[in-house]
Amino acid sequence: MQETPLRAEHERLGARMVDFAGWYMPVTYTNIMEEHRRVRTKVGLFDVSHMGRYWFSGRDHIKFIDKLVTNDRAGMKPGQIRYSLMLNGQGGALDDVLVYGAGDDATMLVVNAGNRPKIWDWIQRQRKGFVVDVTDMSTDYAMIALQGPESANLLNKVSEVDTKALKYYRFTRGTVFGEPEVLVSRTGYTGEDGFELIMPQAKAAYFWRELLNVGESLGAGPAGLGARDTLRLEAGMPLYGHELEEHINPLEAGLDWAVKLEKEDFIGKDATVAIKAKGLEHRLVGLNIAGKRIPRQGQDVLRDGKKVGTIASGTKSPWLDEIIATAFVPANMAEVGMSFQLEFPGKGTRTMKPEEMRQTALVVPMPFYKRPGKK
Amino acid sequence: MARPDNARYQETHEWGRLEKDGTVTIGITDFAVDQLNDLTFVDLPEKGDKVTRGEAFGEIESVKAVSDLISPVSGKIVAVNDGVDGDDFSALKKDAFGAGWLIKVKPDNAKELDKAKSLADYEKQLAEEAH
Repeated sequence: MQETPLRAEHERLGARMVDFAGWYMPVTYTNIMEEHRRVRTKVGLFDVSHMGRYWFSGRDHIKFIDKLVTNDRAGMKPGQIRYSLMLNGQGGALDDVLVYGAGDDATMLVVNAGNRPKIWDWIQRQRKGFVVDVTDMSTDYAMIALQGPESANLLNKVSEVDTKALKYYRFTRGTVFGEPEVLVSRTGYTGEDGFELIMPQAKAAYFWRELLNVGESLGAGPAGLGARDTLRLEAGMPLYGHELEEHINPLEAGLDWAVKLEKEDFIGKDATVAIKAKGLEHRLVGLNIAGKRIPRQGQDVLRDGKKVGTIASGTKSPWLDEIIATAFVPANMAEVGMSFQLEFPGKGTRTMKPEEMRQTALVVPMPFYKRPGKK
Repeated sequence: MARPDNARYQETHEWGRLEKDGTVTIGITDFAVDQLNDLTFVDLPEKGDKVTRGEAFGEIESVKAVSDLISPVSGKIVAVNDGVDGDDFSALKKDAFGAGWLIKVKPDNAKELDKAKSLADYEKQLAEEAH
């Protein structure tokens, strides 16, 4: 199993470690509920070093990126970040990525840990005919996310970065803990305000420990993959392998805003245009479920006793204290207020009264959670 | 939490203990409770139901996953712990080997319990899993 430079820190904090996509990662330090609430109310620290960081430069690199991704790289301002998909020729999602535009000089793609080898290979296969340099900086650098309403206050205590001037989905380089040229972005995967820091691998443990030390008075603490998943789901953000897969087109996942069909060309564009013209068969919806059982990925979504859809993700929302899920359902049923059923057969029989074995799932607007003050 | 050495343990983290009255009390270990962590639901059978060694008699669910509860013996359920039914997990969290027991079974053959691990072997398994 692969590990990040922060492994010893996680173990020192008593984290429960799990195999996540081949990476030895912390799932919780205390429990999901507490870590989730910390991010919603104070500030949580996440180790996101396992994600891939690929740097592109060279004469044709912008043209090359625009071939690889669905969003528009050429139109980005220096220091801007855009969420994007990478598609295969059939319009299916290979990965969802963040594109960091460093002016005309360079571009960074941050890709999902589980997709690193696949995406690296895909890049190599597509680069023919482009003058472009691609460097895998993933292991030279580590990445720590600070997420929550106190994250700007925490960063202000330890860096010279002007956090007021750094807008959402922008990045800059600045001095943090005396270390120059730390890449600081106002991004995250929690639905809260927050930052992600990319620092040299050798500095990662120092940054982690000191962020926890300095952040103590602000209520900072570590947060694991468990809370990361409940936070992102409440915020309606897709997780590759659940809401996105190679057979899912981003339009089905409701990600139209990140797919620029007016762009000259990108891999998967023709297929996406055809899928759109034909009309979508399935769409992703948010579900609110009565009862206590959590639907799991792959579980059938029923209407009038017949299977019509499939659960993508499900959890107990720590913030709402309700069971929530995402599911792919027929496009003509993808409207708020539509009701479905979920079955939970149960292995025991005592607590599972018949009415508890079939639960009603109501389509609700996504995201499930919006942070206060956000439009 | 000290784990009792008069109980037998399964690889899947259930424990079973032969009581003086000949019944077997079954629960899950503190390790399982700790790993499951954010518990959301326990589904237990009815008194009078049959259980079969190696088969599920219920489920325990956390935010992250659902796990089967596997019986270490075959027999008939003579008691179910009301204190952990549904969604109250305080007994399970505080006292997995005491107040947090799940079911009591009148075993067809109490010797079946010997097929489960001793405390020492179970703790060896935990040590191995930690690596």
